[in-house]
Amino acid sequence: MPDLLSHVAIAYGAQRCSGRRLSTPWVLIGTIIPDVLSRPFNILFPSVSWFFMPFHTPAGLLLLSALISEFVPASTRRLVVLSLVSGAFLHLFLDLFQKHTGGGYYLFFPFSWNKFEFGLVSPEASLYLFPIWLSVGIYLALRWSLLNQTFPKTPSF
Amino acid sequence: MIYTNVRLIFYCLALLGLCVYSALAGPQQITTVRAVQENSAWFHGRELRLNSQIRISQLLDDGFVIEQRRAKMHVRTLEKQGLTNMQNSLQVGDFVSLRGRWHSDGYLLLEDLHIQKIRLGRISLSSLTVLGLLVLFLYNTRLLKNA
Repeated sequence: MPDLLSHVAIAYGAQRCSGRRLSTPWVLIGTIIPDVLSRPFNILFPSVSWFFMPFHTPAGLLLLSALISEFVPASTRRLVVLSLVSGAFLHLFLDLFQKHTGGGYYLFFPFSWNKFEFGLVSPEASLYLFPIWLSVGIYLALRWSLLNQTFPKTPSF
Repeated sequence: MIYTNVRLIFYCLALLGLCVYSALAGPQQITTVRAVQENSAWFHGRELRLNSQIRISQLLDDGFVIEQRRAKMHVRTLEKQGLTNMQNSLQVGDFVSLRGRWHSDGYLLLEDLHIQKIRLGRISLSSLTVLGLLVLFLYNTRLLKNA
């Protein structure tokens, strides 16, 4: 699991690149859901962590996204499902790049218990890049605030 | 309306089914310290991957002792594998994940070790991110209307 700040930053960037076809808030919710619903139990209550493991698998996240979308107006349901699933699957995809000593992720649960990952970077790598994320974030925030300033109109002659 | 309720019930039951199946079948998919000690002869010579809640319990001259849910295991290291430097940075209480080969004499010969040194940093950063997003979304009351 890269830290959630990295997940959110990448999801936000990817969503902006998608040309606003998805809903930003729901993409961001989708990208944090896998860790929010499974990791606290791994850390605080390991004995029940297996019960919540499906929330970090594609099958569980598809069902959960569909369930959540039932609570929004029907006109926006499709957009919400697409955004949630996009965010959640992006999260799973990014996690696959990590290298774990113990294996990988149960991508094909409940059909297979085989673990899978690309195994390219250490799980801590994203945290070492935190200063870069922070710098990029500050730069974008400053750029955004400067662009949105209302300048006095040039007088016409 | 009735179709919405049927869908809701279906999604809830399907999710519950996945969770129950995972809770029942999941623990059998991983190797635990206790299982290895109880079936020591069977595990002899096999490669083990231990990564669930493994903590360093004690540091020894030839390795260290790990603990998982009150079950302990002696882990030996080989200097030629370049693990000595990593072992030197180990501290009691560190969370680790490791790979090694079990010997029925009662020890695991270490092949790969990962120390989760900045685990607390990752957890803190992730928690702060979730908290920040929560505040942002609660502040933005148009979340549902303008999805």
